[in-house]
Amino acid sequence: MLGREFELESGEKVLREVRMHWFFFLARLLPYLVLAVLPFFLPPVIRLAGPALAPLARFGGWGAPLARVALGVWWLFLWSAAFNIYTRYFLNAWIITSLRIVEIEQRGFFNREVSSLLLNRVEDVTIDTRGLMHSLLDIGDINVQTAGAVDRFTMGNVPAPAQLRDLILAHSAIATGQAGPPLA
Amino acid sequence: MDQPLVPFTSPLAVAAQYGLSAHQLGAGLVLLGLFFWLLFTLTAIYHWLRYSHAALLSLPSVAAHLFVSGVLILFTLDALASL
Repeated sequence: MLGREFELESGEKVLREVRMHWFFFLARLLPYLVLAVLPFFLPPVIRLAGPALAPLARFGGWGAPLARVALGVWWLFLWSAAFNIYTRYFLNAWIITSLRIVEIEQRGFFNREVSSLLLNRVEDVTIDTRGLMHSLLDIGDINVQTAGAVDRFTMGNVPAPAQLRDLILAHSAIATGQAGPPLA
Repeated sequence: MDQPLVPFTSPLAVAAQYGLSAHQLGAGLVLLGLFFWLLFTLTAIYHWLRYSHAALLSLPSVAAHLFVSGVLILFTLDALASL
């Protein structure tokens, strides 16, 4: 579970912690993988370019020490960028407790917003699944409509959205007194 | 007399114009890379420890980042030493 972003009330329990589906996380990493192997395609391209790039061809290919230094620095940069994606994937979350939904939005480093929505203010929960990949992997967006000042909570590309909607609605009903606590 | 047009110049030739050897060019590149890596790593670790210190994945994630970075830095320094 994420750290002490908020204090739990007495009797409040964390029901679920939700993040974006892993498929989108991997999809965001893909460009970095492509960029990591891209340098290996440079020597053939330089050779094909002919005399225009001849000075670069004398650079020595990726076996040359200076080229390996450049490659190492490039990979270090790419690895850091990929780790940044992972960090943001992990730090962006929805935490559903028995009393509220806490949305933690990490927009970037030192740019963070944590907002809460009480379950007894939930009016409607809708899910939106569009496209083949979303349908196959059971991914969707969840929109939680409230009666409060914050009209709408949206979390995009979450796994098993229908299950999550049912969980929110069930605990919203309990919070508003329209249903009893779930049987153990 | 007209000289043939050379659209690209070797990085070593550019460095030589400024009186820099290949080793100095490599060292500069590594220093720059390490500076940004250090800045990023400290920031990322701060966020992991500050916001997800209770998470099971927190310390393994930071350790994995440091391990992979360490391997890449060793690879780079090894190449630099052979310049």
